Amino acid sequence: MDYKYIEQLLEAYWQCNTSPEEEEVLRAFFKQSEMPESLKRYRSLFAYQSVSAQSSLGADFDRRMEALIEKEEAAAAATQRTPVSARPGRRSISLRPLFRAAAILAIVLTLGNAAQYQFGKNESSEPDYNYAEYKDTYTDPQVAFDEVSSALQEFSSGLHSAVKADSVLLPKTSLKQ
Amino acid sequence: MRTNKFCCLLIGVLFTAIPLWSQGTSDFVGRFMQINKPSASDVRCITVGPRMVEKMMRLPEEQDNTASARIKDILEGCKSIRILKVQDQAPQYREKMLSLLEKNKKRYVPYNEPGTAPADSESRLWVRRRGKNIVEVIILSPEDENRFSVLNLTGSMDSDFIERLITL
Repeated sequence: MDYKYIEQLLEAYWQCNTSPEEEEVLRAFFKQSEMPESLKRYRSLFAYQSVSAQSSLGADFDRRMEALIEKEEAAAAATQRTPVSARPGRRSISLRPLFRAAAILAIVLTLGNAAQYQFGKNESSEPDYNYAEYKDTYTDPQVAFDEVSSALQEFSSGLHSAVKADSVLLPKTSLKQ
Repeated sequence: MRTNKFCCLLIGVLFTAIPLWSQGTSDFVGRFMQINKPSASDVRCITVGPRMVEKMMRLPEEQDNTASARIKDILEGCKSIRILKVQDQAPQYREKMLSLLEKNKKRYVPYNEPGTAPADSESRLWVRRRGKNIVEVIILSPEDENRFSVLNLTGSMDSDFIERLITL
């Protein structure tokens, strides 16, 4: 079989010089099973063109698309309707008194505390120290007692001698002793 | 909407402020240690907290030991005791202590009895008053080149307590 004509057509096809009729000849040729090895490599290209030319939208495509669009629109309308309900307004109304009460409490406590510090009217005479932060140096109370008593005696004797010299610190009752 | 934001802000402020109000304060030596962070080689701080003071008060009484009884009498009014001993750079630490006392002069005042002359700048006994009570006592050791120590007591104390402490 002479394939020279096919090769010429292919050559023209690559250079985009083929007519639709000539391309149809090529597609018809590449449908057959018998052909030389040198041309087999082009078969898939023309076979694809044949298949893709055959594929087309189904007869019910328009109907299916319209059904899908209607379904989407119905879903969108449903979601838009939900927030329009009275729910957000109802929540806002139910929490507003709580917010107000908390805000009033905050204002009263803040102002009260500020006034207490500002005017120094803290009548409490109890120590206000954070004793939780104290970490005892000793675990044995006897050792702690010995350390404390020796320190107290040392400081006391120091103060006592200073008072004797100065007579400023000690109340008059003690000085008489 | 704007009101809600304002309310939320106020509530936030409230919840931030509550822990600060309930925190309590530090005593003088605690404050000094926090601010200066001295090295352990320079300074030794002995802390006796309220629980340990209670344990000390429950120690069995030794017979004929009047000193021990007088110490317990002093401890009756104490809640905590801190003893700070400076082993190195005594004059520098003394200066820092006096400077901190000066900075907190509204909180700590030199102790003097009503009717007596005001304490001079050499005062070694400082107190913090709260209402009618003395809640903190600070005693500085005499000026010395080689050693310096501070006794810091907290509790519910009064002039009698100070008198007992001086005449121990």
